[in-house]
Amino acid sequence: MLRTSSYTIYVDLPGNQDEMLLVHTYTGAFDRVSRRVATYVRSLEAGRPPKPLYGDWTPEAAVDGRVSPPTDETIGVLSRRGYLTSMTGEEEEEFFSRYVDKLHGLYLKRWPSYLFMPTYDCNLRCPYCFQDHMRTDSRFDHLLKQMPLAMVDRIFAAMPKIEALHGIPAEASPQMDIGFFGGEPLLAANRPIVEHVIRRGRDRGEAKFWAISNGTELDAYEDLLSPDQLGSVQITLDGPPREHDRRRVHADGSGSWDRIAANVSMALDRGVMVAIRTNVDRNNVGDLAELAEELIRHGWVRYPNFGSQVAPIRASNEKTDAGETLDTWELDRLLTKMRNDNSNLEILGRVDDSLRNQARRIFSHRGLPAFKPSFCSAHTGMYIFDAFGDVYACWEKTGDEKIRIGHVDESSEVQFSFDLRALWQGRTVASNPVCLKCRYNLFCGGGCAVLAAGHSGGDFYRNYCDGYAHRFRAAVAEAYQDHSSGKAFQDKPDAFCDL
Amino acid sequence: MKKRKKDKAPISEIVSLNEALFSLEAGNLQIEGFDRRLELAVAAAGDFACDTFTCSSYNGCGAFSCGTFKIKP
Repeated sequence: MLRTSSYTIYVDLPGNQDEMLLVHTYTGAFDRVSRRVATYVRSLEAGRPPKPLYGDWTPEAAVDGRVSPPTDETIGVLSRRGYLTSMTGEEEEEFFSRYVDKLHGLYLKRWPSYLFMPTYDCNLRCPYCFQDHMRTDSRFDHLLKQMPLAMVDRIFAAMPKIEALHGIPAEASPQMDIGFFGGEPLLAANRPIVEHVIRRGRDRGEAKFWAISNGTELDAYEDLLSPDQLGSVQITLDGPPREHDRRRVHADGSGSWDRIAANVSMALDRGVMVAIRTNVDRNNVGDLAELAEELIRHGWVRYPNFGSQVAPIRASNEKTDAGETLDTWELDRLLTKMRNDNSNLEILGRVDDSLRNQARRIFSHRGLPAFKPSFCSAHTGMYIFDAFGDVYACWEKTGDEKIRIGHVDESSEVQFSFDLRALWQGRTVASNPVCLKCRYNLFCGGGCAVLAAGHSGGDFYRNYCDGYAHRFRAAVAEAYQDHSSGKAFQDKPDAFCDL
Repeated sequence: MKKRKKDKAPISEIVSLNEALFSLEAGNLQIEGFDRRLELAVAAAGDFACDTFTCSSYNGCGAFSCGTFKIKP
Protein backbone atom coordinates (compact mmCIF):
# COMPACT_ATOMS: atom_id res chain seq x y z
CA MET A 1 0.00 0.00 0.00
CA LEU A 2 1.61 3.24 -1.12
CA ARG A 3 1.50 6.50 0.79
CA THR A 4 3.07 9.81 -0.02
CA SER A 5 6.52 10.24 1.39
CA SER A 6 6.67 12.62 4.32
CA TYR A 7 9.52 14.36 2.51
CA THR A 8 7.66 15.49 -0.59
CA ILE A 9 7.56 19.19 -1.40
CA TYR A 10 4.94 20.84 -3.61
CA VAL A 11 5.94 23.95 -5.52
CA ASP A 12 3.19 25.96 -7.17
CA LEU A 13 4.12 27.72 -10.39
CA PRO A 14 2.47 31.16 -10.35
CA GLY A 15 0.37 31.71 -13.44
CA ASN A 16 0.35 28.03 -14.33
CA GLN A 17 -2.89 26.34 -13.39
CA ASP A 18 -2.01 23.07 -15.11
CA GLU A 19 1.33 22.10 -13.65
CA MET A 20 3.50 22.32 -10.58
CA LEU A 21 6.77 20.93 -9.34
CA LEU A 22 7.38 18.07 -6.98
CA VAL A 23 10.65 17.89 -5.10
CA HIS A 24 11.85 15.03 -2.96
CA THR A 25 14.15 15.86 -0.12
CA TYR A 26 16.30 12.79 0.25
CA THR A 27 16.35 11.43 -3.32
CA GLY A 28 16.99 14.93 -4.66
CA ALA A 29 14.39 14.48 -7.37
CA PHE A 30 12.83 17.46 -9.11
CA ASP A 31 9.83 16.75 -11.35
CA ARG A 32 7.23 18.74 -13.20
CA VAL A 33 3.81 17.16 -12.85
CA SER A 34 0.31 17.89 -13.92
CA ARG A 35 -1.90 19.35 -11.26
CA ARG A 36 -3.95 16.19 -11.42
CA VAL A 37 -0.90 14.11 -10.49
CA ALA A 38 0.02 16.53 -7.71
CA THR A 39 -3.49 16.33 -6.33
CA TYR A 40 -3.28 12.55 -6.41
CA VAL A 41 0.05 12.61 -4.55
CA ARG A 42 -1.31 15.04 -1.96
CA SER A 43 -4.33 12.81 -1.44
CA LEU A 44 -2.06 9.98 -0.32
CA GLU A 45 -0.47 11.96 2.48
CA ALA A 46 -1.09 10.03 5.67
CA GLY A 47 -2.18 13.10 7.51
CA ARG A 48 -0.97 16.50 8.48
CA PRO A 49 2.33 16.45 10.33
CA PRO A 50 1.86 16.79 14.09
CA LYS A 51 2.02 20.33 15.31
CA PRO A 52 5.49 20.87 16.65
CA LEU A 53 6.07 21.76 20.24
CA TYR A 54 7.98 24.74 19.02
CA GLY A 55 9.03 26.23 15.73
CA ASP A 56 7.04 27.83 13.00
CA TRP A 57 6.20 25.45 10.22
CA THR A 58 4.39 26.70 7.22
CA PRO A 59 1.20 24.69 6.75
CA GLU A 60 0.94 22.92 3.42
CA ALA A 61 -2.01 23.58 1.15
CA ALA A 62 -4.99 21.25 1.29
CA VAL A 63 -5.89 18.87 -1.49
CA ASP A 64 -7.40 20.91 -4.27
CA GLY A 65 -9.43 19.33 -7.01
CA ARG A 66 -10.81 15.96 -7.90
CA VAL A 67 -8.50 13.07 -7.17
CA SER A 68 -7.99 10.59 -9.98
CA PRO A 69 -5.05 8.21 -10.23
CA PRO A 70 -2.49 8.72 -12.97
CA THR A 71 -1.25 5.92 -15.23
CA ASP A 72 0.59 2.95 -13.78
CA GLU A 73 3.69 4.18 -15.54
CA THR A 74 3.47 7.52 -13.75
CA ILE A 75 2.87 5.82 -10.43
CA GLY A 76 6.00 3.78 -11.10
CA VAL A 77 8.01 6.94 -11.72
CA LEU A 78 6.60 8.59 -8.60
CA SER A 79 7.62 5.54 -6.59
CA ARG A 80 11.12 5.28 -8.02
CA ARG A 81 11.72 9.01 -7.48
CA GLY A 82 10.69 8.75 -3.82
CA TYR A 83 7.36 10.56 -3.76
CA LEU A 84 5.35 7.41 -3.09
CA THR A 85 6.55 4.81 -0.65
CA SER A 86 5.34 1.67 1.04
CA MET A 87 7.19 2.63 4.22
CA THR A 88 5.05 3.74 7.10
CA GLY A 89 5.67 7.19 8.50
CA GLU A 90 7.66 5.75 11.37
CA GLU A 91 9.70 3.48 9.10
CA GLU A 92 10.49 6.36 6.80
CA GLU A 93 11.56 8.55 9.69
CA GLU A 94 13.81 5.82 10.96
CA PHE A 95 15.33 5.36 7.51
CA PHE A 96 15.76 9.11 7.18
CA SER A 97 17.60 9.30 10.52
CA ARG A 98 20.03 6.64 9.36
CA TYR A 99 20.42 8.41 6.02
CA VAL A 100 21.24 11.70 7.77
CA ASP A 101 23.70 10.02 10.12
CA LYS A 102 25.44 8.42 7.18
CA LEU A 103 25.51 11.62 5.13
CA HIS A 104 26.70 13.68 8.07
CA GLY A 105 29.35 11.09 8.81
CA LEU A 106 30.67 11.48 5.29
CA TYR A 107 30.84 15.26 5.67
CA LEU A 108 32.73 14.86 8.94
CA LYS A 109 35.42 12.97 7.04
CA ARG A 110 36.15 15.90 4.78
CA TRP A 111 38.97 18.32 5.20
CA PRO A 112 38.19 20.74 8.01
CA SER A 113 38.19 24.45 7.39
CA TYR A 114 40.20 26.86 9.50
CA LEU A 115 39.67 30.45 10.52
CA PHE A 116 42.31 32.65 12.04
CA MET A 117 41.24 35.58 14.19
CA PRO A 118 44.35 37.77 14.34
CA THR A 119 42.59 39.95 16.92
CA TYR A 120 39.20 40.71 18.40
CA ASP A 121 39.97 44.38 17.98
CA CYS A 122 38.33 46.46 15.28
CA ASN A 123 38.67 50.03 14.10
CA LEU A 124 34.93 50.48 13.55
CA ARG A 125 32.05 50.75 16.03
CA CYS A 126 29.03 49.52 14.08
CA PRO A 127 26.02 49.74 16.42
CA TYR A 128 24.57 46.31 15.54
CA CYS A 129 27.80 44.37 15.92
CA PHE A 130 27.46 41.20 17.99
CA GLN A 131 30.97 41.82 19.29
CA ASP A 132 30.26 45.42 20.22
CA HIS A 133 30.86 44.73 23.92
CA MET A 134 34.43 43.63 23.24
CA ARG A 135 35.40 47.11 22.14
CA THR A 136 33.13 49.25 24.28
CA ASP A 137 33.14 47.46 27.63
CA SER A 138 36.48 47.76 29.41
CA ARG A 139 35.93 44.38 31.09
CA PHE A 140 36.81 42.83 27.73
CA ASP A 141 39.98 44.81 27.10
CA HIS A 142 42.05 41.70 27.72
CA LEU A 143 40.67 40.24 24.49
CA LEU A 144 42.01 42.98 22.24
CA LYS A 145 45.45 41.48 21.77
CA GLN A 146 47.09 40.34 18.57
CA MET A 147 47.92 36.75 17.73
CA PRO A 148 51.65 36.14 18.18
CA LEU A 149 53.43 34.59 15.21
CA ALA A 150 54.45 31.72 17.45
CA MET A 151 50.78 30.98 17.95
CA VAL A 152 50.34 30.74 14.19
CA ASP A 153 53.10 28.14 14.14
CA ARG A 154 51.48 26.18 16.97
CA ILE A 155 48.20 26.13 15.13
CA PHE A 156 49.75 24.85 11.94
CA ALA A 157 51.53 22.13 13.92
CA ALA A 158 48.17 21.17 15.41
CA MET A 159 46.37 20.88 12.09
CA PRO A 160 47.41 17.29 11.26
CA LYS A 161 46.09 16.21 14.66
CA ILE A 162 42.77 17.88 13.98
CA GLU A 163 42.64 16.32 10.53
CA ALA A 164 43.31 12.90 12.04
CA LEU A 165 40.12 13.29 14.08
CA HIS A 166 38.28 13.59 10.78
CA GLY A 167 39.86 10.40 9.49
CA ILE A 168 42.25 12.13 7.12
CA PRO A 169 45.44 10.08 6.81
CA ALA A 170 48.70 11.74 7.75
CA GLU A 171 50.15 11.14 4.30
CA ALA A 172 47.30 12.93 2.48
CA SER A 173 48.32 16.08 0.62
CA PRO A 174 46.93 19.00 2.61
CA GLN A 175 44.03 20.88 1.07
CA MET A 176 43.37 23.85 3.23
CA ASP A 177 40.61 26.35 3.30
CA ILE A 178 41.77 29.21 5.50
CA GLY A 179 39.73 32.24 6.37
CA PHE A 180 40.43 35.39 8.34
CA PHE A 181 37.84 36.77 10.71
CA GLY A 182 37.82 39.09 13.70
CA GLY A 183 37.26 41.72 15.06
CA GLU A 184 38.76 43.18 11.96
CA PRO A 185 41.34 40.73 10.63
CA LEU A 186 42.80 43.01 7.97
CA LEU A 187 43.87 45.92 10.12
CA ALA A 188 47.21 47.20 8.87
CA ALA A 189 48.73 46.23 12.20
CA ASN A 190 47.78 42.58 11.60
CA ARG A 191 49.64 42.29 8.35
CA PRO A 192 52.60 40.31 9.74
CA ILE A 193 50.17 37.76 11.14
CA VAL A 194 48.16 37.41 7.95
CA GLU A 195 51.29 37.21 5.86
CA HIS A 196 52.72 34.52 8.12
CA VAL A 197 49.53 32.47 7.92
CA ILE A 198 49.54 32.65 4.13
CA ARG A 199 53.19 31.70 4.00
CA ARG A 200 52.73 28.73 6.38
CA GLY A 201 49.62 27.64 4.53
CA ARG A 202 51.31 27.63 1.15
CA ASP A 203 54.33 25.85 2.58
CA ARG A 204 52.06 23.15 3.90
CA GLY A 205 50.20 22.43 0.68
CA GLU A 206 47.28 23.48 -1.46
CA ALA A 207 45.57 26.37 0.28
CA LYS A 208 42.95 28.99 -0.46
CA PHE A 209 42.61 32.12 1.62
CA TRP A 210 39.64 34.38 2.13
CA ALA A 211 38.60 37.08 4.57
CA ILE A 212 35.59 38.81 6.08
CA SER A 213 36.71 42.41 6.36
CA ASN A 214 35.43 45.93 6.76
CA GLY A 215 37.80 46.85 3.94
CA THR A 216 39.02 50.07 5.54
CA GLU A 217 42.71 49.11 5.64
CA LEU A 218 42.78 46.63 2.77
CA ASP A 219 45.35 48.79 0.99
CA ALA A 220 47.90 47.54 3.52
CA TYR A 221 47.54 44.10 1.93
CA GLU A 222 47.67 45.13 -1.71
CA ASP A 223 50.54 42.85 -2.69
CA LEU A 224 48.90 39.89 -0.94
CA LEU A 225 45.65 40.35 -2.81
CA SER A 226 45.68 37.94 -5.70
CA PRO A 227 43.87 34.76 -6.76
CA ASP A 228 46.70 32.59 -5.45
CA GLN A 229 47.08 34.36 -2.10
CA LEU A 230 44.29 36.28 -0.41
CA GLY A 231 41.86 35.48 -3.18
CA SER A 232 38.39 36.31 -1.81
CA VAL A 233 37.17 39.08 0.45
CA GLN A 234 33.73 39.96 1.76
CA ILE A 235 33.36 43.65 2.52
CA THR A 236 30.41 45.45 4.06
CA LEU A 237 28.74 48.51 2.61
CA ASP A 238 25.56 49.31 4.50
CA GLY A 239 23.98 51.62 1.99
CA PRO A 240 24.90 54.61 -0.16
CA PRO A 241 27.68 56.80 1.25
CA ARG A 242 25.59 58.99 3.56
CA GLU A 243 23.78 56.01 5.15
CA HIS A 244 26.85 53.80 5.27
CA ASP A 245 28.78 56.58 7.01
CA ARG A 246 26.13 56.74 9.72
CA ARG A 247 26.48 53.05 10.50
CA ARG A 248 29.98 51.90 9.67
CA VAL A 249 31.82 54.45 11.75
CA HIS A 250 35.21 54.70 13.29
CA ALA A 251 35.55 55.12 17.04
CA ASP A 252 35.65 58.90 16.51
CA GLY A 253 32.36 58.76 14.61
CA SER A 254 33.86 59.39 11.19
CA GLY A 255 32.61 57.45 8.20
CA SER A 256 34.42 54.85 6.13
CA TRP A 257 32.81 54.79 2.66
CA ASP A 258 35.44 56.59 0.63
CA ARG A 259 38.35 54.54 1.86
CA ILE A 260 36.47 51.27 1.46
CA ALA A 261 35.35 52.16 -2.07
CA ALA A 262 38.92 52.82 -3.13
CA ASN A 263 40.00 49.49 -1.68
CA VAL A 264 37.19 47.61 -3.39
CA SER A 265 38.32 49.00 -6.75
CA MET A 266 41.89 48.06 -5.99
CA ALA A 267 40.99 44.51 -5.00
CA LEU A 268 38.82 43.97 -8.06
CA ASP A 269 41.61 45.21 -10.31
CA ARG A 270 43.92 42.65 -8.72
CA GLY A 271 41.57 39.80 -9.65
CA VAL A 272 40.31 39.12 -6.14
CA MET A 273 36.74 37.90 -5.66
CA VAL A 274 34.99 40.74 -3.86
CA ALA A 275 31.56 40.18 -2.34
CA ILE A 276 29.81 43.23 -0.97
CA ARG A 277 27.51 42.49 1.93
CA THR A 278 24.82 44.98 2.94
CA ASN A 279 23.22 44.61 6.35
CA VAL A 280 19.64 45.73 6.08
CA ASP A 281 16.92 46.77 8.49
CA ARG A 282 13.72 48.78 8.11
CA ASN A 283 15.66 52.03 8.27
CA ASN A 284 17.99 51.51 5.34
CA VAL A 285 16.02 49.17 3.08
CA GLY A 286 14.71 52.23 1.29
CA ASP A 287 18.27 53.25 0.41
CA LEU A 288 19.07 50.11 -1.55
CA ALA A 289 18.23 51.68 -4.90
CA GLU A 290 20.72 54.44 -4.26
CA LEU A 291 23.30 51.88 -3.19
CA ALA A 292 22.79 49.96 -6.42
CA GLU A 293 23.39 53.16 -8.36
CA GLU A 294 26.63 53.70 -6.48
CA LEU A 295 27.86 50.18 -7.26
CA ILE A 296 27.05 50.77 -10.93
CA ARG A 297 28.64 54.20 -10.92
CA HIS A 298 31.88 52.77 -9.57
CA GLY A 299 31.93 50.24 -12.40
CA TRP A 300 32.20 47.28 -10.07
CA VAL A 301 29.34 45.33 -11.60
CA ARG A 302 31.32 44.94 -14.80
CA TYR A 303 33.87 42.76 -13.04
CA PRO A 304 33.22 38.99 -13.26
CA ASN A 305 34.80 38.68 -9.80
CA PHE A 306 32.27 41.00 -8.15
CA GLY A 307 29.18 39.96 -6.24
CA SER A 308 26.80 41.55 -3.80
CA GLN A 309 24.26 40.33 -1.30
CA VAL A 310 21.93 41.85 1.24
CA ALA A 311 21.36 40.23 4.60
CA PRO A 312 18.94 41.03 7.41
CA ILE A 313 20.38 42.56 10.54
CA ARG A 314 19.73 40.32 13.53
CA ALA A 315 19.05 41.83 16.92
CA SER A 316 22.18 40.41 18.50
CA ASN A 317 23.00 43.15 20.97
CA GLU A 318 21.09 45.47 23.25
CA LYS A 319 21.60 48.45 20.96
CA THR A 320 19.60 46.84 18.16
CA ASP A 321 15.85 47.24 18.27
CA ALA A 322 14.29 43.96 17.10
CA GLY A 323 11.29 45.94 15.91
CA GLU A 324 13.48 47.62 13.32
CA THR A 325 14.77 44.36 11.87
CA LEU A 326 13.40 42.30 9.02
CA ASP A 327 13.38 38.56 8.78
CA THR A 328 14.78 36.80 5.75
CA TRP A 329 11.43 36.26 4.05
CA GLU A 330 10.32 39.85 4.56
CA LEU A 331 13.58 41.15 3.13
CA ASP A 332 13.36 38.79 0.18
CA ARG A 333 9.84 39.91 -0.68
CA LEU A 334 10.66 43.58 -0.27
CA LEU A 335 13.73 43.39 -2.45
CA THR A 336 11.94 41.31 -5.08
CA LYS A 337 9.19 43.91 -5.30
CA MET A 338 11.73 46.72 -5.46
CA ARG A 339 13.52 44.93 -8.29
CA ASN A 340 10.29 44.82 -10.26
CA ASP A 341 10.12 48.59 -10.01
CA ASN A 342 13.81 49.27 -10.57
CA SER A 343 15.96 46.84 -12.51
CA ASN A 344 19.18 48.34 -11.09
CA LEU A 345 18.39 46.45 -7.90
CA GLU A 346 19.04 43.17 -9.66
CA ILE A 347 22.70 43.65 -8.90
CA LEU A 348 21.96 43.29 -5.18
CA GLY A 349 21.76 39.61 -4.43
CA ARG A 350 18.95 38.36 -2.26
CA VAL A 351 19.72 35.94 0.56
CA ASP A 352 18.02 33.11 -1.28
CA ASP A 353 19.68 33.77 -4.61
CA SER A 354 22.03 30.92 -3.78
CA LEU A 355 18.97 28.67 -3.60
CA ARG A 356 17.58 30.11 -6.82
CA ASN A 357 20.93 29.72 -8.55
CA GLN A 358 21.26 26.19 -7.34
CA ALA A 359 17.82 25.39 -8.75
CA ARG A 360 18.73 27.03 -12.07
CA ARG A 361 21.81 24.87 -12.30
CA ILE A 362 19.79 21.77 -11.46
CA PHE A 363 17.40 22.58 -14.29
CA SER A 364 20.19 23.44 -16.73
CA HIS A 365 22.50 20.57 -15.94
CA ARG A 366 20.01 18.03 -14.53
CA GLY A 367 22.26 17.90 -11.49
CA LEU A 368 21.64 17.16 -7.85
CA PRO A 369 20.71 19.65 -5.16
CA ALA A 370 22.62 20.23 -1.97
CA PHE A 371 21.94 17.71 0.73
CA LYS A 372 22.41 19.60 3.95
CA PRO A 373 22.27 17.27 6.92
CA SER A 374 23.42 20.25 8.97
CA PHE A 375 23.23 23.98 8.56
CA CYS A 376 26.83 25.02 8.16
CA SER A 377 30.42 24.01 8.62
CA ALA A 378 30.23 24.72 12.36
CA HIS A 379 28.68 21.26 12.48
CA THR A 380 31.03 19.45 10.14
CA GLY A 381 34.47 20.70 11.00
CA MET A 382 35.24 24.39 11.20
CA TYR A 383 37.96 25.36 13.63
CA ILE A 384 38.32 28.99 14.59
CA PHE A 385 41.53 30.00 16.35
CA ASP A 386 41.84 33.19 18.31
CA ALA A 387 44.93 35.00 19.51
CA PHE A 388 45.05 32.95 22.69
CA GLY A 389 44.98 29.56 21.00
CA ASP A 390 41.38 28.98 21.98
CA VAL A 391 39.39 27.01 19.43
CA TYR A 392 35.76 27.66 18.60
CA ALA A 393 33.24 25.99 16.31
CA CYS A 394 31.23 29.03 15.28
CA TRP A 395 32.38 32.54 14.51
CA GLU A 396 29.30 33.95 16.23
CA LYS A 397 30.38 32.32 19.48
CA THR A 398 33.93 33.25 20.31
CA GLY A 399 35.84 35.16 22.93
CA ASP A 400 34.75 33.14 25.94
CA GLU A 401 36.86 30.22 27.11
CA LYS A 402 33.81 28.69 28.77
CA ILE A 403 32.36 27.88 25.35
CA ARG A 404 35.51 27.05 23.46
CA ILE A 405 35.70 23.57 22.01
CA GLY A 406 39.44 23.35 22.52
CA HIS A 407 42.74 25.03 23.13
CA VAL A 408 46.07 24.71 21.33
CA ASP A 409 48.69 24.32 24.01
CA GLU A 410 52.38 25.11 23.89
CA SER A 411 53.25 21.71 22.50
CA SER A 412 50.69 22.17 19.70
CA GLU A 413 48.37 19.59 21.16
CA VAL A 414 44.73 20.50 20.95
CA GLN A 415 43.12 20.03 24.33
CA PHE A 416 39.56 19.44 23.18
CA SER A 417 36.48 19.83 25.25
CA PHE A 418 35.09 16.80 23.52
CA ASP A 419 31.61 17.25 24.90
CA LEU A 420 31.32 20.72 23.42
CA ARG A 421 32.93 19.66 20.19
CA ALA A 422 30.52 16.74 19.92
CA LEU A 423 27.64 19.07 20.72
CA TRP A 424 28.45 21.31 17.77
CA GLN A 425 29.33 18.50 15.38
CA GLY A 426 26.33 16.42 16.37
CA ARG A 427 23.66 18.95 15.43
CA THR A 428 21.88 17.67 12.35
CA VAL A 429 18.35 17.74 10.99
CA ALA A 430 17.84 14.37 12.67
CA SER A 431 18.97 15.58 16.07
CA ASN A 432 15.76 17.40 16.93
CA PRO A 433 12.22 16.07 16.48
CA VAL A 434 10.92 19.10 14.59
CA CYS A 435 13.54 19.13 11.83
CA LEU A 436 13.34 15.35 11.57
CA LYS A 437 9.74 15.59 10.42
CA CYS A 438 10.17 18.59 8.13
CA ARG A 439 10.03 18.04 4.39
CA TYR A 440 12.45 20.91 3.74
CA ASN A 441 15.11 19.70 6.13
CA LEU A 442 17.87 18.65 3.75
CA PHE A 443 17.59 21.95 1.89
CA CYS A 444 17.46 24.05 5.03
CA GLY A 445 19.88 22.17 7.24
CA GLY A 446 17.99 23.02 10.41
CA GLY A 447 18.72 26.73 10.49
CA CYS A 448 21.39 28.60 12.38
CA ALA A 449 22.26 27.07 15.74
CA VAL A 450 23.03 30.44 17.30
CA LEU A 451 19.73 31.94 16.22
CA ALA A 452 17.92 28.79 17.35
CA ALA A 453 19.54 29.11 20.77
CA GLY A 454 18.63 32.78 20.92
CA HIS A 455 14.99 31.93 20.35
CA SER A 456 14.85 29.05 22.76
CA GLY A 457 16.70 30.38 25.75
CA GLY A 458 19.97 28.65 24.99
CA ASP A 459 19.14 25.27 23.47
CA PHE A 460 20.57 25.09 19.97
CA TYR A 461 19.29 21.59 19.29
CA ARG A 462 16.18 23.29 18.02
CA ASN A 463 14.96 24.33 14.62
CA TYR A 464 15.35 27.85 13.32
CA CYS A 465 13.01 28.03 10.36
CA ASP A 466 13.13 31.71 9.38
CA GLY A 467 10.24 31.22 6.96
CA TYR A 468 12.15 28.61 4.99
CA ALA A 469 9.15 26.81 3.52
CA HIS A 470 7.88 30.02 1.92
CA ARG A 471 11.37 30.90 0.77
CA PHE A 472 12.07 27.52 -0.78
CA ARG A 473 8.85 27.36 -2.75
CA ALA A 474 9.19 30.95 -3.96
CA ALA A 475 12.84 30.54 -4.95
CA VAL A 476 12.40 27.26 -6.82
CA ALA A 477 9.27 28.50 -8.60
CA GLU A 478 11.06 31.65 -9.71
CA ALA A 479 14.08 29.66 -10.86
CA TYR A 480 11.93 27.27 -12.84
CA GLN A 481 9.99 30.03 -14.51
CA ASP A 482 13.20 31.84 -15.42
CA HIS A 483 14.61 28.60 -16.80
CA SER A 484 11.48 27.84 -18.81
CA SER A 485 11.32 31.30 -20.27
CA GLY A 486 14.96 31.15 -21.30
CA LYS A 487 15.95 34.04 -19.08
CA ALA A 488 19.71 34.47 -19.15
CA PHE A 489 21.44 33.00 -16.15
CA GLN A 490 24.55 34.77 -15.03
CA ASP A 491 26.43 31.99 -13.32
CA LYS A 492 28.47 34.24 -11.08
CA PRO A 493 29.80 33.43 -7.64
CA ASP A 494 27.23 33.62 -4.93
CA ALA A 495 28.09 35.61 -1.86
CA PHE A 496 29.44 34.40 1.43
CA CYS A 497 28.19 32.86 4.53
CA ASP A 498 24.70 32.02 5.63
CA LEU A 499 24.41 34.59 8.41
CA MET B 1 -13.39 31.81 -42.03
CA LYS B 2 -13.29 31.12 -38.35
CA LYS B 3 -9.93 31.28 -36.72
CA ARG B 4 -9.02 27.98 -35.22
CA LYS B 5 -8.18 28.13 -31.60
CA LYS B 6 -4.58 27.22 -31.17
CA ASP B 7 -4.44 23.74 -29.68
CA LYS B 8 -2.92 23.68 -26.25
CA ALA B 9 0.05 21.36 -25.90
CA PRO B 10 -0.92 18.25 -23.95
CA ILE B 11 0.17 18.30 -20.33
CA SER B 12 2.50 15.45 -19.45
CA GLU B 13 1.70 13.65 -16.23
CA ILE B 14 5.30 13.75 -15.09
CA VAL B 15 8.56 15.06 -16.52
CA SER B 16 11.73 14.44 -14.55
CA LEU B 17 13.97 17.49 -14.43
CA ASN B 18 17.10 15.85 -13.06
CA GLU B 19 18.73 12.59 -12.02
CA ALA B 20 17.89 11.62 -8.46
CA LEU B 21 20.52 10.47 -6.01
CA PHE B 22 19.11 7.00 -6.07
CA SER B 23 16.11 5.20 -7.34
CA LEU B 24 13.66 3.40 -5.17
CA GLU B 25 12.26 0.15 -6.46
CA ALA B 26 8.58 -0.41 -5.91
CA GLY B 27 8.47 2.55 -3.53
CA ASN B 28 10.55 0.74 -0.99
CA LEU B 29 14.08 1.01 0.06
CA GLN B 30 15.76 -1.68 -2.00
CA ILE B 31 18.78 0.32 -2.90
CA GLU B 32 21.90 -1.29 -4.09
CA GLY B 33 25.10 0.50 -3.51
CA PHE B 34 23.39 3.20 -1.46
CA ASP B 35 26.46 3.82 0.63
CA ARG B 36 28.64 4.00 -2.41
CA ARG B 37 26.34 6.45 -4.15
CA LEU B 38 26.33 8.70 -1.12
CA GLU B 39 30.10 8.62 -0.99
CA LEU B 40 30.28 9.47 -4.65
CA ALA B 41 27.83 12.29 -4.19
CA VAL B 42 29.90 13.82 -1.41
CA ALA B 43 33.15 13.26 -3.25
CA ALA B 44 31.77 14.71 -6.47
CA ALA B 45 31.22 18.00 -4.72
CA GLY B 46 34.92 18.54 -4.53
CA ASP B 47 37.14 18.15 -1.56
CA PHE B 48 37.14 21.60 -0.12
CA ALA B 49 36.43 24.24 -2.72
CA CYS B 50 35.66 24.26 -6.37
CA ASP B 51 37.48 26.34 -8.90
CA THR B 52 34.53 28.38 -9.92
CA PHE B 53 33.05 29.37 -6.56
CA THR B 54 29.62 28.88 -7.99
CA CYS B 55 28.11 27.94 -4.69
CA SER B 56 27.28 30.09 -1.69
CA SER B 57 30.37 28.91 0.12
CA TYR B 58 33.30 31.12 -0.61
CA ASN B 59 34.86 29.48 2.37
CA GLY B 60 34.91 26.04 0.86
CA CYS B 61 32.36 23.46 -0.06
CA GLY B 62 30.32 22.95 3.09
CA ALA B 63 27.65 21.27 1.02
CA PHE B 64 27.69 20.42 -2.61
CA SER B 65 25.34 23.20 -3.34
CA CYS B 66 26.33 24.14 -6.84
CA GLY B 67 23.79 21.82 -8.42
CA THR B 68 26.05 21.07 -11.35
CA PHE B 69 27.41 17.67 -10.55
CA LYS B 70 25.92 14.27 -11.27
CA ILE B 71 26.82 10.77 -10.34
CA LYS B 72 27.97 8.92 -13.38
CA PRO B 73 26.30 5.58 -13.89
